[in-house]
Order: sequence, then structure tokens, then C-alpha cells
Amino acid sequence: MKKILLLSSLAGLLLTACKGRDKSKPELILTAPSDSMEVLAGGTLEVTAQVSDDQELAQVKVDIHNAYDGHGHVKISYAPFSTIRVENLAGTEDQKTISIAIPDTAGAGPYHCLVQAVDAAGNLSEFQLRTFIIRNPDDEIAPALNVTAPAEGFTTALGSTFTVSGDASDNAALQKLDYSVTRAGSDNKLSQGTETLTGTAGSFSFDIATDGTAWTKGAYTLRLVLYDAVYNVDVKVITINLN
Amino acid sequence: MLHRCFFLLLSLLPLPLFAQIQGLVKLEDGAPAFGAHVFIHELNRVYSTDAQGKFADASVKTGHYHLHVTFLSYKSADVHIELPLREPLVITLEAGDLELQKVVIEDFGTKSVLNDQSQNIQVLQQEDLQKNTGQTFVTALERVPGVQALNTGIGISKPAIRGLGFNRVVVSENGIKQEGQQWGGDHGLEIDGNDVERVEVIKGPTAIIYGSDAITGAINIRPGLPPARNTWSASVLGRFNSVNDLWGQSAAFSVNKNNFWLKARFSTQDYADYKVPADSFVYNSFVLPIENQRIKNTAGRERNASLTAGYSFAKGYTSLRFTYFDQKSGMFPGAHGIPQAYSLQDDGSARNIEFPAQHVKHYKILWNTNIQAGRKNWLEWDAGVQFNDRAELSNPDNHGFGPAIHSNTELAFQLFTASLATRFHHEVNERVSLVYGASGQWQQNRSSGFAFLIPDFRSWQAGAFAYGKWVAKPEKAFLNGGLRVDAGGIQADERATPFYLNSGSQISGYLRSPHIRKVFGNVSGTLGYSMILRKKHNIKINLGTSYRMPTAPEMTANGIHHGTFRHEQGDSTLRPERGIQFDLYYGRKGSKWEMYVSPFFNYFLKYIFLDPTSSFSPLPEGGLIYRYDQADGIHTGLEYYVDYHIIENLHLGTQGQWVYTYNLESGYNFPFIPPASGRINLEYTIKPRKKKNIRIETGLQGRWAAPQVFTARNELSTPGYILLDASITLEAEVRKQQFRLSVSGNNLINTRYYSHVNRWRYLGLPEPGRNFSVSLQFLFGGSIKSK
Repeated sequence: MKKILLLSSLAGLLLTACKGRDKSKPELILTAPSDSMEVLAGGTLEVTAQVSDDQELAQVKVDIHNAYDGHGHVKISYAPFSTIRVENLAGTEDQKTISIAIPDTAGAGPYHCLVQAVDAAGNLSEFQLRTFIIRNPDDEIAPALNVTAPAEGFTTALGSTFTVSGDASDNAALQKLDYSVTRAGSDNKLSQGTETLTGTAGSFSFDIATDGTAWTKGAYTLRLVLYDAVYNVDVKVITINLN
Repeated sequence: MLHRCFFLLLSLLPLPLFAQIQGLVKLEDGAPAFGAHVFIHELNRVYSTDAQGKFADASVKTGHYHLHVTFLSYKSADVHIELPLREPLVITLEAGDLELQKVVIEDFGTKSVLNDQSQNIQVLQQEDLQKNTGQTFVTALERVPGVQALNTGIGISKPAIRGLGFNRVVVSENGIKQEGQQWGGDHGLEIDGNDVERVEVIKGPTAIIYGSDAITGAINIRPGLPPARNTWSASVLGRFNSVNDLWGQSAAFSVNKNNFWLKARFSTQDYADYKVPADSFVYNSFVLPIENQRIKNTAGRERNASLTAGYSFAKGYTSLRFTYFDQKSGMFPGAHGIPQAYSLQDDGSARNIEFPAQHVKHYKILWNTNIQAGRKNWLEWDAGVQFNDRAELSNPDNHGFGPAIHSNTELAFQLFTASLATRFHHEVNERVSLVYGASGQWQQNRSSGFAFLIPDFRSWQAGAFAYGKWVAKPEKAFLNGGLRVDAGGIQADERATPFYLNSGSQISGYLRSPHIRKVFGNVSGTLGYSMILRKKHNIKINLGTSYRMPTAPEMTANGIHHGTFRHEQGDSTLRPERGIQFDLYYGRKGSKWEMYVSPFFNYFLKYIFLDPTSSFSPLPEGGLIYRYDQADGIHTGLEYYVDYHIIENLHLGTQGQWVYTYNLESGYNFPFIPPASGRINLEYTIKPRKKKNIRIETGLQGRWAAPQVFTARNELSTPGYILLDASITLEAEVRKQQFRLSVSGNNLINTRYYSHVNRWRYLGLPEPGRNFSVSLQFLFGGSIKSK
């Protein structure tokens, strides 16, 4: 068993240049990408990070994720393109350029590029964030979604079934329609599904039942996301009331 | 101190087995105490004295007993007797104003009263706990200097003593340690605060008696007194808190017929999202909305029940208790993954519980027995089985890679625990008493859910101790000490999960936690001294060692714990944590005031804590990997308490606590340690002269916390705060029916402040705003016919 030799352990710690004694966080400068920079799907995003610390560095992490805000009508991919890249750093000053291949399937829209570094002692840097836009080179034209039912603000009885119908078109090729129903403001999906669509035009019609204990009276959000073959989208959000 | 008056009487009635106990309780001026409570500890029996101040019971065996006598505002008395009585028992009660003196303070583990005992013990009764305006049992305990609540939001909390919580504080009920998933940062204590009649808080090195995990203290929930023989009582309580529109109800019933007693309680609590004095919060420099100034999806509900049956017989008592705790609470969606504005929008209702959420059910069966084993010995045993069924629920689609998951159970843990503890109390003579004890516990955990954090494991712990108490100078000096031997083992199953790369391709069999099989052992000891000088000063000194074996999660965890917002990783090479503890106490009592100050110093060898590594998690939204690590360190601080009666009805009190830790290896402090904090309160009691059955208490309180700048690596510092509270309580008693109405306001100025030991501090979420709390309680009872 160890003895309580406080002074000797303090002295011992002062003598050892222990990695754990590093109390300063690394400095991170992000020189690329610039804010609101555009990248084509299928192309490459270059991330350049300069990191420095008074003691040994360890890693830098790049986290790319969709900056979709849950609303709007923008051309964005609903395919979950996100990626994490971790690169090792060496010494007390290091610069890394990380090339991230943006897949063809990543459609247009805003994305976040979040970068953070850590030193060998585990001190985290402040993070740096850039927003960049992915564009689709082959087909910049989004599909068009037209919902004939239900209308915005549609009201029906709790427990009943309602029909969702409409038509879709695209300059090149349609792919699918994703739908979900959530309680307004919540992301808990009470109903969800996918309808397959092909060609340059098509229509859809399906039923959504509101029975079951998860459903209660109140406002719900029906979200319809139409994809074309290259993941350009059109989004429609409709409020539905159950009473 | 207490006065014992034994009158000479030469009545020798040598009954070989049964002895009559009869006594007289009187006041200083010689008047009889009518309605005083006399409690025989060993038999769990209560008597009420009659108009002549007398009580009697013929169905008691010869032997040694402890009696506790309490009466109105008199100082309580603790009397040690031997039956048959050689002389009449007359107990004289001294007048006293100070609250603490009304309660008998006895540590159940060693059967010692406050000053005889070197441990720093404080007892809270149900009426103290019911002054709680928070919503958990733990917030009620914050009245004890040195106890603080570690919170997740406001509905989930666990206790810390001297700044250390989690597996370093033992919470036990009727001698059985509560085993939930106390390692988890967002896991609360599964105890219904309404159902606690009496709780002892023991600070300092207590591991000798309470087991190896009681590093900085123990919280012992003790059964309240049973109803007096052939009486019944009932109570109903309703409560409303405005900060989260909480409605709570609790109803209890108890009855004693011919020393067989039954107690039942049912409590519910339903609450909405809590309000904060802020429209937005700042996380990682993003300004995010707090819609309607309510923290979204923090609503919850609780359904708790208990049933106890007991029997007091001539040679002791036995009781069987069943408890059920069921809590479902929503978790702030911003605390689950990266907070994004769209997930924080108003969901149309403040009362709904959406995902993410947690649902905890805790079932417990406790069996406690105390029997006389020969004239001078008592044997106690406590047995318990408990089952903690915990689920953390969320939508799977927050998680990025891999195939679609069709389950909302992210993590589920089912923990089964069986425990047994036994103690043998032996009175060697009037000066020396000994306690021998042994305890054992067996556990099995099963994990499931679509995410992974800890594997299935089984663990066992066993310990034996001997503890002795020596009265060096009667009523002046006491020495106690003990030795404990512990052993324990853990066996965890290997767990591999598929791992999905960014491309969507899969690596199967990615090892999340290895198979482990470990056995640990330890010997620890303690020595304490308590000295009373001129009946005013009380000095206590304790020296002890402590020990804690690493828990299964500390050795095996590997995954993102969304509740704590980080990737937590265990280390199977951890060694047991040991500590050398030194503890002092100085208390002083005057006629109008009392105070104590209690500094402590602990040196830890291999203190276990979650430390950031220099690697990022490969899991989505994982941040940095935090791994359980060990370092030698210092843990020091103090508590203080002062109560001064300016005039009889007006008193001014202040209390506080300070803890400082230092990691000798990194030069940082240990994580999640509360800052120095305290409270000052002024209370005025109105007792109308004409209506003696009415009592009104008014109070004004200031609570403060210093900024916490002594932080661990990557931990945020937290600014200090000052809060103002006020309360008024009306108590009335009409024909043995009591009525109590309390109205209180907390954080009256609606200050925006942060608690360093709230999990959601990390997100920049402020603490609850102004709260008005109203509670109403009726207590009533009567006698029942007996044969």
C-alpha cells in the first residue's frame, strides 16, 4: 500500500514532465472552407486547419452535417449525408488539409462544417464552424410537388383516417416521396412511409390512420419530401388538426 | 445533557423472563409530561404517557433497552435501561428551544446518540422533509450542510455529500443499499420523498459500517415510528409548484393492533415543462430558443406506492416492506445530440412527454428483523431484493449511419440486486459495547436497446466488520473504532456490435467491451473520539480509510451516453479507489444558540473519474471520448451551522459548505464538484396566546453560491448567484387532527442563474425561475378497540 507522502508525490509530479500537466487549450484557425462557399456534389470540399499548442497536439476532427432547419422549400438532400473525419496531429504546430469527397447523391442545400482540435492532454480547442452550400452539377432543377389533399389547416376527428394525394413532376426523373406525421414541434414520428415514383411525372394517393394511443387531439405536422433521381427535393409542410 | 433520576425502591420482583416496564416522565418543574412519546428502540414500540406522565408494558423480556423520549419543545432524552428495573424509572425532561434537541439522534448502525458518537450525524424528520419546495427527495436533503443535489433538469436528482456523489454515497432504506444505476450522470435516485419519515445523514468516513461505497457519507432512510398500540392514523397531502405546474398528492394510512402494524402510502406527481427566466440559451456560441420560457419536454410523472407490515413481539420485532417507484420524465431534446433550433420549437403542449424520455421503475422488498439474543445482545438482520428497470427512449433517426432501427428504446438496463446484512450488538458492560456485522450483495445487469453503453454483468460484494465503542468518561468522552474486510468481484460479458462507416458499409463484430472477470479485496479501519467539555463544547475527531472497487460501468462502458452528452469509455484495468480521511467537528451550545463547524481532509489514492482523452469519438455526435481514469488527489472542505434565537420566537440561522478537490496528476480539479454555497435564514414563529393549538411560522431565506472556477479539464466554470426565498406555514391542531398549510416562494426575484452540478449546465440552460409552492396536509387518527 502506498504511503501518504503528499510532498514527495508533489515533488515527483514536478519532476516528471507529465502530459497531463498541460492546462492550455490548442488554438485552431480554419483557413478553408470560407463561409457560404459552394461545392458541387461529386466534387471535393477542402478543409484546412492550422492548429497550435504549447505542448503536444493530438487530433483534429471535421464534422460535416446537414444544416437543414426543418422548414422551407430549399433544394436540399434528405439523404443523410454526414461524415466525420479525424486526423492525427503532430508536434506543437500542425496544418492539415483534409479533402472530403462529396458524394453524387448529396443534393443541394446548406451544410455545416464543424472543426475542433484536441491536444495530447485532452484539452479541447474552441470549435470553428463554416456553413457551405452543396449544388448538384447534373440537374439543378428541383422536382415539383403539388398536394391536392389535405389542405393546409385540414381538420378531422381523432381516430379517423385521411387521404394524402397529389402529383409530382421533374425535368429528368422522379425517385420517391417520403412522408411523416409528427405532433407539431416534435420530431417523434407517429406515422411515416415512402411512395415510389418514376418518370418525369406521377401521382400518389395514400391513407394515414390516426388511431392508437399515441395520437391525441391537437395540431400535427405532415411533411412530404419529394426527391428526384439526384436527390434534389421539394418539401411541403401541412398542418393538420385532430379534434 | 440529559438527566436521569433513579429513585430508590427495594422492590425485587425477579421475573425470570417477562419483566414489567413502567416509567414516569416528568418536566423540570416536577409536573407530569402528558402525551410524551416513549420509544423502545429494540422492539420498535411507541407509548404515549397518560395524564400522570406514566407508561407501562408487561410484555417485555428481561434485557438491555434504549428508550427515546420526546415531548413538545423539551430536549429529547435517551435512556439506557436494564430490565427488570431495580429502581423506578423516572425520566426528567429539560426545557430547550433549539430544534435539534427535539429529536433523538441515534445512528442506527451503532445505536449511539449524537454526542456519544464521533460521526457527524444529522437527522431529518418527515416534517422537515415536507418543507421541501423542490420536487425530489434529494432536494429536501439539501437542508443538511454538506448535502447537495446533483440534478438533470429539476425532476431527476441524486445526492452528493461533501461534493461527491454517484457511487461514493450510500443511500439505504431500512439498512438495504439502494441499487439503481447510480453511476449514470442523468440517473436519479428512485425514492419517493413523501414516503420518508426519518432520514439520517452521516458525513465523513462511514465505510466501516455502511459498506465500501460510503466514501464521503451515507444517507440512511429509517422507518418512522410505528403507531402506538391500538391506534390508527392517516394523512393526506396535496402540493402545487408553479414553476412546472406540478400537482402532487400523497395519502398514507397506518394502524397498530396488538403490536401488529400496517402502513400504506400512495403518491403521485405530475408536472409540466419547467419555466426559466430566459428566452434563449447559448450553446457552442449558437443562440438557441427557449420557447415560452419553458425548457421543452421536461414534463414528467411519478407513481409511487409502499406497503409495510410489522410485528413487535416480546423478544423484538420484524417488518416486511414493499415499495414501488415509477417515474417517466421527458428529456430536453437539445440535450440529446447537437441541439438544433428546429427540435426546440414549441410542441404545442407543456405537459406531454415526448422523446427523448426516460422511464424508471424500481421495485423493492425489504425484510428487517431485530431479536434479543441473550440478556445483553441484540441480533438484527436486513434482507432485500430490488429490481431497477430503466429505459432511455428516443427516436432512432437522430443517429446517422447504419440501417433503419425500428425501436424507440435507445438504452435499457435491468438491474437485479439481492442484499443481506446482519449485525450483532453486544453490551460487554456499561462502558463497552460491540457491534459485529456482515453483509453481502449480488447483482445482475442486463442491457438492451439499439445503442450500446454498458454490457451485461454480474457482481458480488461481501464484507464483515467489528466496531467497538468505549465510554472513557461517562457523558464526557467516548472512543470508537472498527475494522472491516471487504471482497468483491465483477464479471462482464464481451459485447461486440456492428459498426457503420460513413459510407454505410459495416464492420461487424466491433468490440465494444471485453470480457472481464475481476476480484478485489481490502481491509479498512476507522478510529474516532468524541469529547464533551463543560456540557457545552463537543469535539469530535475521526480518522479512517475508505475503499471502493471500480464499478462495472467504470470498467466496461463504451458508447455515447446521450443523457450526459458524451462518449463514455470504461477501463478494465482500473484499480480500487482508496482514501485516507481525516475529519474534525467542533460544536457548541449556548442557552440561545448553537453552532458547529466541521472541516475535513481526504487524500485519495486512485480516485476514479471521467477524464477527456486526446481522441475524438468515431461515433456520430460523439465529441471527445471520456474515459474512466484514476489519479491521486486531495478532497477537502468544511461545513458550518449557526442558529441563534434573538428572542424566543425569532431566530437567525446560517449554514454552508465548501469543497475543494485537486487532481495531483493533472493540476486540474476533479469534475462535477459543487462550489461553496450556503444559506441565511430568519424565522419568526407566531404562537397566539389564546389559541395554543395554532402556530404560524414565517421565514425569509437567502441562498448563495460562489462562482465555481475550480474545474476539471474542458469543464465550464460557473458564475455564482444569490437567491431570495420566503415562506409562511400555518399549523393547527383540533382534537388530535392536525392541519398544515404552507405557502412559499423560491427564487422570488426570478434570477437567471446556473448550477454547476446540473447536467444541463453544459448546454447553458439556466436553473428554474420563480416558484410558488402551496402544500396542504391533514393528519388524523384515533384509537381502536383491543381485546
